Amino acid sequence: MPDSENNKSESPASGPQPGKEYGLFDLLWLAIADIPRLMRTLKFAVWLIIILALFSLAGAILPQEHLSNDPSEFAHQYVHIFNLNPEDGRTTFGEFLYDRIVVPLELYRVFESGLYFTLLTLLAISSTLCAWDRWIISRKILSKINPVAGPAAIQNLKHSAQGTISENPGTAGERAKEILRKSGFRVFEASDENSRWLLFRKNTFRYYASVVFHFAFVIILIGGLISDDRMYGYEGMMRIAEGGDSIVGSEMNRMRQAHEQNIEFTPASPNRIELIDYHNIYRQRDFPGIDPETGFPVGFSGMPSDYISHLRIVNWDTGDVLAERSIEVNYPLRYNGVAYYQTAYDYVIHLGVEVSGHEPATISARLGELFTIPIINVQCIITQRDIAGGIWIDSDGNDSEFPYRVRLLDFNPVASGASRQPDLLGYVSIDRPLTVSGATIVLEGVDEFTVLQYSHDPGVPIVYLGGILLMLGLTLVLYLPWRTGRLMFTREDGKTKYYIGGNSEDIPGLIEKEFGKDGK
Amino acid sequence: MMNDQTTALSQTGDAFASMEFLLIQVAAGIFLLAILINLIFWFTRKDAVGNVSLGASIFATLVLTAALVVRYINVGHIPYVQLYETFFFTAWSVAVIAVIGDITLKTRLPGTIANLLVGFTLLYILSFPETSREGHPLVPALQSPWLDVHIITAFLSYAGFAISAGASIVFLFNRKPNVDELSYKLVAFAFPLLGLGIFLGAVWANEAWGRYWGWDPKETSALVTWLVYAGYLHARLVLGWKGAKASILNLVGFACVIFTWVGLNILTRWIEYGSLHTYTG
Repeated sequence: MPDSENNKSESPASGPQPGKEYGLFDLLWLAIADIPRLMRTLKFAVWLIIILALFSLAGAILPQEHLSNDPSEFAHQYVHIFNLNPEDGRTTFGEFLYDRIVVPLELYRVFESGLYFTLLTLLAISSTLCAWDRWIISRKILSKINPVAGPAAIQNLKHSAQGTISENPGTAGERAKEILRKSGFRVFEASDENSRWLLFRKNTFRYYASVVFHFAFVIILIGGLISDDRMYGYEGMMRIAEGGDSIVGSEMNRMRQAHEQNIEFTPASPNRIELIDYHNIYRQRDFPGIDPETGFPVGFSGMPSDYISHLRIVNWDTGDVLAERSIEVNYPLRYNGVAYYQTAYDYVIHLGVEVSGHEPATISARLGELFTIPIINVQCIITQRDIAGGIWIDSDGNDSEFPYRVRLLDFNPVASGASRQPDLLGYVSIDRPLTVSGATIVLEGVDEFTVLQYSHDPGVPIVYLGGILLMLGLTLVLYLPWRTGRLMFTREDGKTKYYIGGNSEDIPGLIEKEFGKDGK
Repeated sequence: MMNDQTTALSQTGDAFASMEFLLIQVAAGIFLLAILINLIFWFTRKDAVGNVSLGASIFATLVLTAALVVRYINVGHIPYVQLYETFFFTAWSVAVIAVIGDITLKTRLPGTIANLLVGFTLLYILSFPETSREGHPLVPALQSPWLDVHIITAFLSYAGFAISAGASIVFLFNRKPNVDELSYKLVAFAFPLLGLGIFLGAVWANEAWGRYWGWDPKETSALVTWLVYAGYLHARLVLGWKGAKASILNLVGFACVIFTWVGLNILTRWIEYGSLHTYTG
């Protein structure tokens, strides 16, 4: 269904006129004056989309370092890709690509680069101009109602037919009008002594739908601009211990700004966010039980089924509780324009070591941190995969406490180069110590921390509005069948002939069914 | 006692897994048989044979749907996490879209293309080792109804583009305008679905992390794919492109779909660069 009707450019002719003398300034002016015309052409939009797609692809393929301006910081990531020499980062092949293309075009930070921003802005402008043009054209087409058209014009429409009937044009026209109206068409008519014309349309508001989605694209880009942390949005991470507290998200943002400007930060808000309680949830649905040998969930991936933080925002001056909610991934807490998302968790693990003849010793380690167990001198790292504990929910929905247990891996063989894999030392839990080469290792406790992402994003409603309009416009344009057609009854050689045509193959059938095909 | 429970549970899991395997085998068999019937139809052009081929496609799709339901019950989520699951779910989406296409567009071409794609994809996933077929629990971030609709719309759009690309290839050989028109209709159907998939993904990301767009490689390449198809629709509707030119542009779009779907997965592994969307297994 090509829109041949609305394909013509409405812009006034511009550019240099033949036979006229131009100076350099005149030509420059002509070029500038020509920009708006150029920007509303489809060719411009297509080229823009191609360039944008190529840059996006580069950003999708090449490692990106967000929020950094210094290519040398992560040039090491490109060593492998561009075959750079790891010593000085240069080989003949790598040097050219890296120095002449990656760095000047900022391909290591495509989506933060000024060039990408410019391309998006140009696309927004082009889309706005196109939307505006479509609006003008749509109004013109829909307001220009002239039912009169000759037989040749009707036969030129995409799908057409003709026939001969015995009725006179007047009564046939009335009958056809009824049929079309029953089929949901808006009918416009005209007649003279010999002929009767009908112009009929259905779902033509589709023309405006196309305006809507071109403009929706611009709304999304505006929303995205507002969201950007260089405009009105901010986001960051906070880590709170169970029973502890932190300043709220807006204050975290002020603190970051103060730090950047090297000025002293004093909190302006008396509000604090407190972590009342934190726990992991393990479901039998996800882990088919606990291995009695190890005390670990069978098939444990390192991730509980859910992790939940009971948060409270309190005004510390008055003691008023301003907000309170147990949050988990996908279910954030929102207060005062800032949303707090459950993002991760963290632990500090306390181990005790007892060996006869030695003073008992203790060691505390953070998740992912390399530490040495005293006395026995074993190097360990405890990762998410090595610790489990919280609440266990069985298949009937009964919950029970599932005390923390830790898997200890001996990294000494890895450190000494003897092995690529750490050896398993054993499993230790609160209620079950581990005995290794004469030493008893006790899990003395686990401090729980929640890791929250806070985010202030005033652009979201605008982006959502744009998204909804875009989908609505696209659905109307591509899924809604729109119809437009013309019908003419005319007296020729003592008979009535009809000509029908329109944009869809079902249009001629509407009349043929009622009046018969030619030749019958 | 816990040990007994574990064994019992894994036995039920095994029973589900072998039922799923059997159903996929049966479905693959019928899809391959349907290809044969399709071939007879294209040679004889008899409506009755066409109807039998459609019947076979519908039956095979139902069996594949049963396999999908069995897996859903077993693993507790829509299968899209591992490479095995994504092939499985894509095959199912292609089969469904082809049946809808065959019925609404009154042609056997989508069915023929889909039977070829689905039949051989199923044979391929049946060759996966058992460890690659095991289900895994979803990480908390993936447990969201937004995500389910995001996945379903994205895969249905991939399916529409796949059949459309098939039709474009057929067109490049036989040059029949109705085949060209069919490939356009399928793009016009799949394009808003891909847009909806991207949008729902953004809504979900915002609910999960407070960031609706993060320029993740998968997000970016989905956007590029969408832009390429936007280009195709503009070329077709505004510039009046048809035939070979339009078919080639459609195939470029489909190359982007493949890249977004699995190519990126391979690439990110090759250059050791992380994406939130990579499949496992």
